[in-house]
Formats: sequence, structure tokens, C-alpha cells
Amino acid sequence: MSDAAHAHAHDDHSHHPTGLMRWVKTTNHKDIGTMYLMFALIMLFSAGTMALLIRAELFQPGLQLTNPEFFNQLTTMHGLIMIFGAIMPAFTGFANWQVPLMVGAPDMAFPRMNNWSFWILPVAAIFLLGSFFLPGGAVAGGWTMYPPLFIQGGISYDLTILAVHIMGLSSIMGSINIITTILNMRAPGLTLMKMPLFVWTWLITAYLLIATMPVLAGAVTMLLTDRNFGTHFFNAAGGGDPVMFQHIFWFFGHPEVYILILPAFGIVSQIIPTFARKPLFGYASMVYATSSIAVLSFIVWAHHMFAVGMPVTGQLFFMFSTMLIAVPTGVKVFNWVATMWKGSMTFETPMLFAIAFVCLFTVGGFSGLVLAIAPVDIQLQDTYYVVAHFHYVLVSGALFSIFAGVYYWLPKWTGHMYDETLGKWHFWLSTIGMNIVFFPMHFLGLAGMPRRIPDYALQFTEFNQIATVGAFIFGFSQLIFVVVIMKAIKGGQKATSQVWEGAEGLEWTVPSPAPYHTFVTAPLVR
Amino acid sequence: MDRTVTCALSHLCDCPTCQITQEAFTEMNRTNNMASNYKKYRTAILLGLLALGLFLFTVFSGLH
Repeated sequence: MSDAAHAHAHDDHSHHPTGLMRWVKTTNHKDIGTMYLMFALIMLFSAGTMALLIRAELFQPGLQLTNPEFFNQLTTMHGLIMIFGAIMPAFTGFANWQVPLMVGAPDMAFPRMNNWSFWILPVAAIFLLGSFFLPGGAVAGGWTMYPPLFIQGGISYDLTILAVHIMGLSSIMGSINIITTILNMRAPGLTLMKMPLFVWTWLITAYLLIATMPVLAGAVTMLLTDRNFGTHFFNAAGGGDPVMFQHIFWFFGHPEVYILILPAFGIVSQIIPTFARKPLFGYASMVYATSSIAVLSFIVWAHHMFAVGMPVTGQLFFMFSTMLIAVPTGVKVFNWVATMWKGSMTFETPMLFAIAFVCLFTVGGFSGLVLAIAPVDIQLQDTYYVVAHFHYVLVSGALFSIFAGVYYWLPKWTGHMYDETLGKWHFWLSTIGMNIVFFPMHFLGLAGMPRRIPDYALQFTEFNQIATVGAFIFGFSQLIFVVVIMKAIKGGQKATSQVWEGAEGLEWTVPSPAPYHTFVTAPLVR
Repeated sequence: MDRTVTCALSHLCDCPTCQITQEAFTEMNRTNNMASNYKKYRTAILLGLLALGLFLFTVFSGLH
């Protein structure tokens, strides 16, 4: 352990609350980070269970387990909960744990607001999940909440709008906290261009959140007033424009995709250099590429709306601007590969998930390029090809990076090494299972199978059966992940402060587990 | 009294360990804390206003 680490250990306040109220009242970034991660895990399993129900229904044609209304509720809630309840809170959990440790700050800039940011989330989750038990069931209009369907539903639609408001508020407060922490509380000497890539990607993500979440809030507020106060923002019968909702929604929705993937880029950019035992190749270009992706994400939204109809000039603009995103993304993939090139690589579980991320996220990126071509998109719109595409981005992209990050930092969080054998089982079953679920969906989509339907034509049966088998392999393999986490929390081989031989950064200078209070005195970075 | 502070980002700097006096370090922290308190509230208020502005802009755009 370094002298600095000793100093931080001695700086550690003896005050360490215990019991239930510790978690309710805590303002400690590590506690709040842990709560975000646990919340995300619970939501992952809730929405994952819905996914398994969807896949079980689709095992064969006809209606087996659900009726069409309930099926649509499942697909809608699966999407909403996975995005707003699982992936985003998981990354916020990482940010809470790691950003102060990585920039040498004692805590987040506004610890009390940090507590509120978390604790309003379970309320939103209760609204979303509880709506299943209301008359008419949960929302069934798709996670995109398009009117006119979303204007016509029952009370659960109002609850969902409220939940989206709450989750948006949580994200905005969290983002203000993260930006303020990074810009104002960095250790002396830690200039912006010395910051770890994870911090950079979260800084950019937080700006994206602040720029887009209010737009979503505005859109759903208009939905709410259309539903309850007689306005006609999106009601064509009253002179409103339902297509306007789509424009506003996707102005939020496309940057949202990058909100879900940029922190993943950051995690992978921390892990690959560690296990390749080489500095990250092209650090500055990584920062510029991430910034470019964020800027471009604001001018591509209408590629989600090619089938709605727009002038050819508009189609060309959105097609080419979308394709342009492949350039900075390609820079990032190149840099990750170049970092691994001739490195002294070892393949612990975090590295396995990171490598899988690079390979499989690229598959999702390529299918995104296919969908960016306007005439092709009109053919593939609302087919399973789109489902395959965004699951390659969000499962093998965002979710795998979360797995990688948990394995990577779990020893720092718990003070114990995780079970490497179980970790590898989790990796291989997840990777194989994930590909069995989602790769056949490309073929289903190309053959014309529409998404969001509980029944399908006979010719789609085989690929659907394969996908369902893969879904259950993938789903149940996540139980291994829970076992690994529980084992590491309970005990196991003691982790050193460095944990990984090739790891670099301030978080590795503090002991494992990280003391309750760290960097009370700011470290100096040269 | 000297205090050794590890240069954690070793790949970004030349020296593995750097020396700084405790007094200078404490003074630097105190100055930084006062300045950063003002700066962090300013940053947060600006970001909050930006978010509020975007929300209102979206809703008022809908009115047209």
C-alpha cells in the first residue's frame, strides 16, 4: 500500500452508521453507489423475468401463456424498466462509487441531493411495477409512449408518465452532481486530459442527460395534459400533431442510446489497459471520439422515423449523419484493439466481458449501419432485425460492460476477490446464451417477422424456438452472477489495494475494501 | 514535516513519487475548498437553469 493510501486509511472517520437508517439517510457516495447497483440488479431480474415470459410465449405460434394485451404490457414494461430501472441506475451506481475515487474527491459535490436522486427511484419503480395490478393492467403502448395510443389508456398511463418524470428528475439531479464533482472537485494536478476515461465518458454522458431529459419531461408533460386537461398537443382531432411527439421523443431517445453506451465505453477503456498491461492507445482520440459521438447523437434522431415519412433531403441528411457516427465509434474500437495489440494479456472475467463487448457491440453497430440506410430501414422497420440490433447494443454492449465493471471493481468494493471459476462460467453461459437469443432474430427480421406480437406465422417457428432456448440459458446464468456477488460480499480471498497488477489510477491507492471515507485530504497528481 | 503523495497516474507523469510539505498541502486544500464551494454551487445552478430552460422550451414549442 502506498503512503498516500496509509494516510487515507488514517483519515478515515470512525463514524460509520449501521442498520436500516444508514441506507435511508446516507449521504456517502459509496453507500449510494451500492444502493444504485442493488436497485439495478433487482430491476434487471424483474424486467428479465418479463423477457422470459415473452420468450416462453413466443416458443411456438399461437397463444400459450398470455393474451395479446398482457403480452404488449410485458414488452412495454420490459423496455421501460430495463432502460430506466436497470441500465441507467447501474451506470449511476458505478459513477457514485468510482468518480469520487478516481478524481480524488472525498464525496460527490452534493451528497444530500445524491441521497434524494436515489431514493425517488424506488418510488418510480413501484409506480411502474404496481401498474400491473391496476384496472386495465400496465401500459401497453411500447416504451416509446407514442400517442394516440398513449393518450387513450387507463390510469396506469398516468402513473407511467409520473414515473418517467421522477426518473428524469433523478437523472438530472445525478448528472448535476456528477458534472459538478468532476469539474470542481478533482485532486490538484488532475487536469481534464489526465482524467481516467470512465470519468470522461460519464462527464459527457451527464451533459447528454441534462440536455435530453428535460425534453422527455416536456414531451410526457404534454401527454399528461392531453390526457387530463383537454389540451391537444398530440391529438389530431383537436388540431394537434402526433408526429411531433415522435420528433420530440427521439430527440431525447437517440442521445439516450449513447447515455446507455458511453459509460460502457468508459468501463471497457479502464479494463482493457489493465489486463493488456499497456496504457490505453490514443487517449486523446478516445476523448475526442466520445465527444463527437455525443454531439452527433443530437442530429440523427429522425432515423427512427424513416417509415413515418419525410422529404428525401431529410432522409439523406439523417441517413448520412447516422453513418457518420461510425467514424468516432470506429476510432474507439480501433484503439481498444490497438491497446490489446502485443500486450501481456491475461483473461480474467472482467477482460473476457470487455473483449466480448468489443466484438459483439461491433455486431450491433454494424446492424445499426444497415438500419441507417433509409430504403433498407423502411423494409426492416418494426421487424425483429431492429430487436436484434438494439439487443446487441444494449445486452452485449451496455449489460456486458456492467458485468465487466462489477467483476473489475468488486474486490475494491468488498475487499474480497470474487470466485474466478464461477465468473468464467457466468461469462461463457451469458455470451453463448446471448448469441443464441439474439442472432437468430436477424434472420427473423429479414424474413419479415414483426416485433411486439404474441403470435406469428409458422415459418418463423424454428428460429423463435432457438431464441427462446437461448433466452433461458442467458436468463438463468445470471443467477451465477448473484452467487458470485454474494460470495464476494460474505468473504473470500483478501484483495490487495492494487487488486490487478496492471491497474492504474487513484482508486487503486486506497485499501480494499475502500474505507468509508476516502481522500478527506486531496491527493496530489503529477 | 514532509508528506509523500503517490503519483497515482504513473503513466501520465515522470516521477513515481513526489514530495510536498504538509503545511503547503493543508493550505492548498483550504484555498481549494473555499473556491470550489463557490464554483460548485455556480456550476449546479447553471446546469439546473439549463435543464429548466430546455423543459420550458420543449413545452412552449408544443404550444405552436
